Amino acid sequence: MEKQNFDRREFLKLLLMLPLAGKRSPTRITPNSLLYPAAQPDQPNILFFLFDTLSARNISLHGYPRETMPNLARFAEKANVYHQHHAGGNWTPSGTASLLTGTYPWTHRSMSIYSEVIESFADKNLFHITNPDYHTAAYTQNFLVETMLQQFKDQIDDLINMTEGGLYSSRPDSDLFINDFGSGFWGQNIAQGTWIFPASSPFLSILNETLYTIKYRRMQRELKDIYPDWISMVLPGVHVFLDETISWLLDQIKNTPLPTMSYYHFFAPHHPYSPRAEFYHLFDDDFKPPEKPIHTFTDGSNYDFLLPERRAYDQFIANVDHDFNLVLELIDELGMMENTYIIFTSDHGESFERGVWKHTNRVLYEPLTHIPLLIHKPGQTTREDFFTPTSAVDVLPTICEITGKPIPEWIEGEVLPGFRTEPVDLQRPIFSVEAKENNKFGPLTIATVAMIKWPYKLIHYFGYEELPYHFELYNLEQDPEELNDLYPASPHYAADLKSTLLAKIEQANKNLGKIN
Amino acid sequence: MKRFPEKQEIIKSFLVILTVINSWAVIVFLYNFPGLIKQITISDLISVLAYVLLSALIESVIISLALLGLGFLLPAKFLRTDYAVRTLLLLILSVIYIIPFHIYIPRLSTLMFEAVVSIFIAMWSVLLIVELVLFHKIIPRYPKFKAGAVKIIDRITVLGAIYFFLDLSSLIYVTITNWS
Repeated sequence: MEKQNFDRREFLKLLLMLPLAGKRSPTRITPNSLLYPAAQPDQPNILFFLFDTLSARNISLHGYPRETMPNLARFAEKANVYHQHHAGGNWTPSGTASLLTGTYPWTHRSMSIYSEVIESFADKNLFHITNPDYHTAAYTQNFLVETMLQQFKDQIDDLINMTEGGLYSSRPDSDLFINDFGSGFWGQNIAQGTWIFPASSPFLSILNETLYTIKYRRMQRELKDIYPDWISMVLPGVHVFLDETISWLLDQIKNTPLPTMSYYHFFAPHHPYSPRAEFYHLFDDDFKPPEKPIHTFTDGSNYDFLLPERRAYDQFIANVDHDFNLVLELIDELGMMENTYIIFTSDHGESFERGVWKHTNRVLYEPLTHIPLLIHKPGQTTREDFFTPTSAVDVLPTICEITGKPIPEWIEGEVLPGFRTEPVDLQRPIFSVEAKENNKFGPLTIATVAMIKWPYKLIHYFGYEELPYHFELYNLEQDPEELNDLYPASPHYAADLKSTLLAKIEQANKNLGKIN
Repeated sequence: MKRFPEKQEIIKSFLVILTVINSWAVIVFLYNFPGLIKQITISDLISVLAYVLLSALIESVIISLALLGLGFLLPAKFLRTDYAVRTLLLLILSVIYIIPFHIYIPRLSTLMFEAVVSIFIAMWSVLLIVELVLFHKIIPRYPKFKAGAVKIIDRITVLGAIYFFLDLSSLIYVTITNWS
């Protein structure tokens, strides 16, 4: 008996200590104002507006037949327009982290649904670079981005709570677990169950889900006149209303201390597509995009199913365009057009082709990676168009350039055309990486990598059971819809591109863990 | 006070509930472990486990209170007598019933969920009533059955105590991390 008591107590002592062991040090409590010198009043402001899941391929400004964004086209008249801008990946973690760190997913490693960047990038990002001279602020409605922003919070003066900007959450993590957001978010996801997990909480999860569903149906009934179909749902129990978001944003812009570098990441037009009633009847037309061959990685969505989904997405984009214009009008009224860089972009696109819907998949076709990038410079009154391929990793070095900071050597991008004096290298390869299934801490062994070296785009699938080692090659100039795969007929044609791509992957794998 | 079971029975029942709920939580966590270990660090993994165990503790407390409430309302012969044995049987049968639902629920859309969950809850309610009546008939008639269940409970409570400690340490960890 004595022996049993002794063993159990010792064992329990050890177990008690287990959750506390090895966890990184608690949040730094030093106020940011003590860590960084005060902002410089003569600096122009920088405002980032990122709309999640906005494909350039569905924007009228970039040649889409439906007039989805007429207001953006007007804004373009006073901005630099990048017509061949590409995301770092095909979904939020990889795309956003590439924008914020200036590196590709094989470096920052935010590739899977556990979206934190590797530890060494916690102080290598947009906020770290701009904080000394700016009041830095950040807001997102996407939980995967919030996880990342929480990593950067020591460099963000005002990390705004997700629930402040028109987002309503019944989940405890958005308020209660804010100091340990990533773990709290995933702990709750496992307890509640998600599209990939069964719930670890066998009874309460069903009760919770039932309450969420009842609440959602009640909201749908109450708001049917405004949202005839869906109410935008970030996660079960989390809803976001774009009009309220924009109203909040207008106040936020008026009240932010200047000069500011503010990053706003909005959920719209992410699925479920939920345009307000006034946009609900738009695009009742005969438009039919080209039918493309079904891909090996199809999710079973056929052409006829995807047509109405595409239309709802286009309507939601038109809604975004209308509401974002209110923000631009306010900025104009406040006179901020004269002293502010306004950056409009997205983290990735959306697919409605080849039997592949949305963006949580393994493919890297243009609808998923081709994203908008417009930058208004202070006082800019004319439009400048750039057709050179650019990447999300180029935005951070451009911020360094305009703020007069040296470009850190870990950045993989270059200063965007329009902000540089040296000529642009048209043959510079840019990359998009999809590696959700790859080990976050290991070399790339199961992934899709796309490389654009104008006018060609080489896509490489490797490590998948269905496509263990596969290439596709397209000429984007002659075949922007990527219908004619040049690779099978003439692999030698792609030899140079292939060696560049494989060498880059090999180099990325060698560099793994070398960033300090 | 007569409407509640003996204190010892309540404690045993709570430890049984803790064991069943935590064991399911650990199974789900281990099911996710190969995916998790590829994507997050060991320290984050332990931290995530702390939140999972905390939710198991909350769930166990709520179930215990719900069963006590049920025992308070029902005639003693249905639940209050041999309280720990009856709650053990109720819980195990409910978990067996609920597992297929959890295996398929991630694949259900919102609309499907609504349709499935209402049928599920209705069937579960019927099953609970049938089980309560069945235990009422079986337990007094078969003392060996009851003795076997009591032995199981005695063993389970040891595991329940370990889970209780783990759950409490998770609660302390989450509290310190988020509100210190």
